[in-house]
Amino acid sequence: MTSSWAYGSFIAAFGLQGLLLLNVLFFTRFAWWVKLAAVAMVAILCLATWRAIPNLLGWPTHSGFAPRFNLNGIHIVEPDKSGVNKGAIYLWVTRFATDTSDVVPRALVLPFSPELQLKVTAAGTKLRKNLPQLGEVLPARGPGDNHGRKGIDLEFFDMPDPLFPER
Amino acid sequence: MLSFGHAAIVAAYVVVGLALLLLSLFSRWHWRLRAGLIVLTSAAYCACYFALPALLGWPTDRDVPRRFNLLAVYIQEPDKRTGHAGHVFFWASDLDPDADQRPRAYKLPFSPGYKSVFKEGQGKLRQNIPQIGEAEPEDVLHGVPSDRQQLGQKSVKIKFRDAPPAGPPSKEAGG
Repeated sequence: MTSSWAYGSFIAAFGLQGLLLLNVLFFTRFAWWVKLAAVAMVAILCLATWRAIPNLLGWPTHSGFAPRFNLNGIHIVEPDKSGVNKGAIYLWVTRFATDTSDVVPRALVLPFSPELQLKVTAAGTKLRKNLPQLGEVLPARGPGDNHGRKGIDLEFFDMPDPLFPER
Repeated sequence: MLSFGHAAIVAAYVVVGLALLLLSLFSRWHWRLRAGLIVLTSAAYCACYFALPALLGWPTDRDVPRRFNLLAVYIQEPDKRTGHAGHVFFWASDLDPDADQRPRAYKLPFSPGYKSVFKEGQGKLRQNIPQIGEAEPEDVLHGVPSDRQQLGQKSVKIKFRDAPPAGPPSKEAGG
């Protein structure tokens, strides 16, 4: 799913909201001030929703891992001893593509696990040494998290040298 | 914590539900029409619910924090072949202690100035020198942007400095 699909869905939902409002205006017998209040409320909420969407952008998401991706950055938050902060592993990745002119990096987050921390830290160290890292998503081994989301496992590889066509 | 973004969208759902309830109770439509509207509205709810995650994770072009810890940089040069204007993407966490501490992805329109500043920051990150970024809004308008999607985006001046070395924990804090 792309973000343009998401914007399209929101616009469709706004359209439906407008349709319902028109029906309330023309096919019900409410007092005029109730209808006026309905118009104002829907207008304000459409505006508020539209202005709210940019506040959601940029933050990491649990879903949206491409099967193969280029690693651009890592950030690991270890769990604290009190158990309040359960830790997280943040990744900043781009989809694996040969033409990178329209590639946009995406921020992802995974629940913290010591095994994944080792893998991600090793990949991050290689990344800092200018060794591009290719990530691959593996099927989940564990039962998933408290929200019913299935966990995933990752494997990282050094990016192969670009292949040149044979003469 | 419920953010403004989530709260506004949940409130919009409630308003649609309320309007539908009023129509179902007080209009004189045929029951098939009412049932159709309920199905349509439920479908719209599902569309929004599944559309939200598709918006998450992608970089934002707003709200660059005043002080931030630079985590990674991705520079996309303009492409004359495709006409793509190019961007400078960066990943950073806000240093304001009251702000959300999760890292957030940002994008800026490509410019040679941004490119050189961020390249330098990226180079130092690769040498294990953490970078503190400082953003100042620029009031000067540089004409109409070539990319109309950038309308409304405020120009910011960004500079980086090396983060001070972390000292030993103080006795009060250490316990």
